[in-house]
Amino acid sequence: MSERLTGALRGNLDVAGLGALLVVLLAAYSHYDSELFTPASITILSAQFLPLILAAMGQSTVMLAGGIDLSLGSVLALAMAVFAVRAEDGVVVAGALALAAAASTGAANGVLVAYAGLPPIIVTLAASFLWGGVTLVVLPQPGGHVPSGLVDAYNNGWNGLALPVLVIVAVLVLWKAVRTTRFGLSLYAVGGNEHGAYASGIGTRKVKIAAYALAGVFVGLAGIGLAIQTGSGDATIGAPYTLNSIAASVLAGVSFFGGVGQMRATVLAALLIGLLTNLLLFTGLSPFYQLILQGAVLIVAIAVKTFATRERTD
Amino acid sequence: MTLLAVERVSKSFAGNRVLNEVSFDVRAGEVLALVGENGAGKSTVLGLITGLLAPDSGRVVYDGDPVTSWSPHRAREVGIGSVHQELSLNPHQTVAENVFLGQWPSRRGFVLRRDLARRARPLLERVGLDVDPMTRAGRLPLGRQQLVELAKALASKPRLLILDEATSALDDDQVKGVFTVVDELRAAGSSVIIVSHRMGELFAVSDRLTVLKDGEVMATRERAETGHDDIVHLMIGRELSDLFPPKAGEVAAPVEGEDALAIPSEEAIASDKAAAEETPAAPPVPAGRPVLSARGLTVPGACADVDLDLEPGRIIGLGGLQGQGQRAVLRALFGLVKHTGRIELDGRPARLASPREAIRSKIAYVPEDRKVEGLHVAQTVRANLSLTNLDVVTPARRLTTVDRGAEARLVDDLVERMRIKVTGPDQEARRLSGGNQQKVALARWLPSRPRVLLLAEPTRGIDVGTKREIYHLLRRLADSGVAVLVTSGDTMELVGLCDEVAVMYEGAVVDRLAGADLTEERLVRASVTGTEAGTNV
Repeated sequence: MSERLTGALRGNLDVAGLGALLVVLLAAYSHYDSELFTPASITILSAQFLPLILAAMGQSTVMLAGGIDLSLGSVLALAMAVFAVRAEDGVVVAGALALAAAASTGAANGVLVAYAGLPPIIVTLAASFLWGGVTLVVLPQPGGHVPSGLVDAYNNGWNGLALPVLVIVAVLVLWKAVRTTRFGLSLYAVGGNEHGAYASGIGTRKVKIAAYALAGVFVGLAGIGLAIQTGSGDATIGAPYTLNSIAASVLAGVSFFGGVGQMRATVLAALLIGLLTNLLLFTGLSPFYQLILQGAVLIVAIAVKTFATRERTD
Repeated sequence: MTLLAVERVSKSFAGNRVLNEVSFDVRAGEVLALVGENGAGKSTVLGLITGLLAPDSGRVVYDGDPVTSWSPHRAREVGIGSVHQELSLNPHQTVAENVFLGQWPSRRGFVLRRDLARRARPLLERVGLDVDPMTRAGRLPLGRQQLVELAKALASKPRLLILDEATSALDDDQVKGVFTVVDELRAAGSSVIIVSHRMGELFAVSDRLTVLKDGEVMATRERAETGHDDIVHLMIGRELSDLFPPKAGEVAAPVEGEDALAIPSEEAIASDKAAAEETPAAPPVPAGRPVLSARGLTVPGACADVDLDLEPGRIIGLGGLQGQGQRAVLRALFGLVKHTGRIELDGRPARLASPREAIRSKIAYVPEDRKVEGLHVAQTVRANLSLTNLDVVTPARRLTTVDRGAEARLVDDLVERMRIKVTGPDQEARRLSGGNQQKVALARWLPSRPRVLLLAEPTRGIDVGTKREIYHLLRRLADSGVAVLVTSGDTMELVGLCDEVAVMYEGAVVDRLAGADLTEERLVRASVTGTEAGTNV
């Protein structure tokens, strides 16, 4: 029984630790913003954090398969630009186009990694330049226009519902379902022991390609979210999301070597990073010091987490 | 009826011919033992059968049809299951998820945990494994993980089961359980190919034995018509006494000077052997003062309370099944892992907290995985040899750049003395064969004149000729006053080479065998039972 208890605790140590950290941050936050827990405030904040949360989920998907995606920021901006440029012709078509673009860039990364055997870090670094350039062709200057009704409903609530929260919940439910398919299990198997997975008859290449493509879908959703939140597109806005999504994944306990990690922890960690950034803004410190503090907090958090969950090895 | 036929199959890696026109077959309802030394080509043949590798020429015929577009996926589909010594489990997933790895049963596309657990249980029972199917596989001890592999192979209801050193980490009862499964399969008309270094097991369970040596099939024998000696003779292709040098105390005069640092010539080996035969069984060398002694050496989770005395002139072996803490002992003595216990160098307490300190104390380490810890495989032979000898190649110590002339002399000298086959000093280490890589890994320590030499699996995966050279080199080094400590999973090697073998079991030394007690039989028994088998029987 105690074995089972410690097992359950170990399995959820990441989530539990992040939850505790979240409580601390929220307490500090409500000190600066007394209206934090009102529906209006939750809607605005979730609209602001949605892109990073989805981007982090995309990054975690790739990392679970044992890869990494440095092109994430560029692809996010590409999806945002495509959506913003096409939004006036109909949001559904624009959304589908943006998602298709993002998913195919992901699949392209996956093909290069799986079939050409190139290291993910190189492939996605090159891809980040490539798609960054393409995005500038699509949208040379910030612009495009998202229908204001949608922008308003998204940022200020729709019939009292916080749409971004619904999206996040829906995506988490979707992930939970994916996780229990054969593909989901294969994803963890390939990340945990690629050779073993191959020797067991798993199509490791297809799994990798699918993982990158699925990550593309998450990132595409993030780009669309960002376009709706800001009401327009900006080709240069994506860059910070690459490193922030890696930071969130690592903070969530997703292993760089693949095969280990939980998506709900990634969502929590992305939320934490978003809150921390806002909180530092409230303190009125110079932006320079905000950056220094943000880096320091991340390092401490990851170090504590690593020591707390380290398993004894030979 | 023939279920599987391997027909005139050849395979080369990087110019090294590993298999040469290999042919054999497996009948339906038969257990075939594949026998051979490390590096004889067994794993390569099995890789061809399981679809991990493709042959350069020749073909594999399964169930009457030549296999085309072969892959592990296809092989599994047509009923070939395999258990390898190197585990293919994903340590981060549960036992049940691993049992059905790659072919999880699903309902409308969803894999349900309770389904997995329910269907895994009977398979786990069949292999005699009593674990919760929801345990993470990585939390199980090695032996139990190996049984999970077996359950996984059985999950696909194999018509051909391949057991590649599948019992290496199992105890007696577990091995019996595996053989029960093998018997059941045979009775049901399925076939089994079994590879094991434990000769007794092979004779207990197989119907026929096929012997591989240096990538060629030497013979296939019916079990009833052969014996251990016959098979061993076929495996080695020469007498044991020719492979190993005489032991400490069996040679009249120890070798001095530079000669000790070279692989001896054929004439020298012959004269050593003659001398040993003339000297009537001299008593073992009286234990000298140890260079390095360890008391209560403990690495948490790997080995506990190990006592060792390494004396000049003696080769000590660390035996036992794989993964019983031998590696941890070596790594601790080289300062690679944190450890507790008392360590003395020349009778003075010493702390070996890092490889740097160990090297300064004249301890050298040739690791098991040469490609990770032993060599910089992407660099040249020259760079590999001079890196550990920067004192020699930079005349004014750290202040000058490398003296290319001194470096060239050093490298040429070592290549010649160790008979390393290279196209030139600029050849990349990864392009060398395993045996030559191992020679480089050893040679790089010689100029610094180590007093203690630690080697892990010094001859794994290298050809028999190079093995012999390395055995004789190690003996020469010992004779010149080096204390040698060797771990090996090859019992024949330990018995043939070492003056004394400490047998490890679950991290502790359970027996020490020397002199007439040091036989393969006793070593294996102590390794498997984890008790002192040498003296009480």
